[in-house]
Amino acid sequence: MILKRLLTAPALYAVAGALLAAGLLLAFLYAPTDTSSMGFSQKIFYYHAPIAECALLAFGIAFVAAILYLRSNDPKYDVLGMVAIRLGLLFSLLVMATGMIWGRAAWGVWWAWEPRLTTFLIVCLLYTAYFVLRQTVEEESRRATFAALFAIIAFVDVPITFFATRFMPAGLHPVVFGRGGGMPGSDLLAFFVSMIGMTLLLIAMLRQELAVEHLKEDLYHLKNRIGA
Amino acid sequence: MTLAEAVKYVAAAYAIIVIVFVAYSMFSARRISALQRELQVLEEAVDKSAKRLGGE
Repeated sequence: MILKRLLTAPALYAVAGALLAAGLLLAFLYAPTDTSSMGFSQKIFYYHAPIAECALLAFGIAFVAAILYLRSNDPKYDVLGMVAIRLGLLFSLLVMATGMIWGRAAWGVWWAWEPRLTTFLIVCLLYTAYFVLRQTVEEESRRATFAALFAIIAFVDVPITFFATRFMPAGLHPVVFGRGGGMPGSDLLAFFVSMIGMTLLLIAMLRQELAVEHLKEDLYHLKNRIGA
Repeated sequence: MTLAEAVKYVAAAYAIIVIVFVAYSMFSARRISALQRELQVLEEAVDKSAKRLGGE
């Protein structure tokens, strides 16, 4: 019961907001300023990377929802997939915007055709096409089936984007963890606090969007029943 | 790049994030209140017709 109450959207928003504020304070007051060519502009990273991870996570949720829909034909998975992709695109928009600003500050260019940026742009275009597809099919179950198939195919680009910096190290993007680079330990705390905060924000938004979609559905059925 | 220039870029990036999330929450709140209004209208319509049926 307590856990259920803690997982409500307002509670999640409050915890996410507190963690994001703490992450920002840690990023600016605790984490040292980058001494490489990036300098102070590296501070963008503490929200930029968590937002990117959340965008990919949202697309991952849509991928799982698509598989579950195709297995069960339950419309709730179609709604979950649609909502996850909508939020994934919102987060992607922020990644692109903050990434371009960071690129201009660190590399001197707004855009570079390097592996991570290019694959991320393809992800954005693919998931935008998902909504175009949904608009073109009128019949509900056919629309949900096509959308699920499309979400599965589009997801192929997500791991490519995630691992682009490892598979193709010639790009401009740094590797955050593991072999081939990595962040110093003093930066990790700010990053992880922001990462958890951003993930909770995504979950809160997802829950809220799902509640709205269910309310819309209930209203639609109620209208049909009373002939309004 | 000087520190002053870098600060401008960092501020712009964080401002965009805040603006997008605030805009999203405003849009979401408007959508929810519109749905709630619609639900209220429907509930009133249901109540009225229930009363009418009860009176007949």
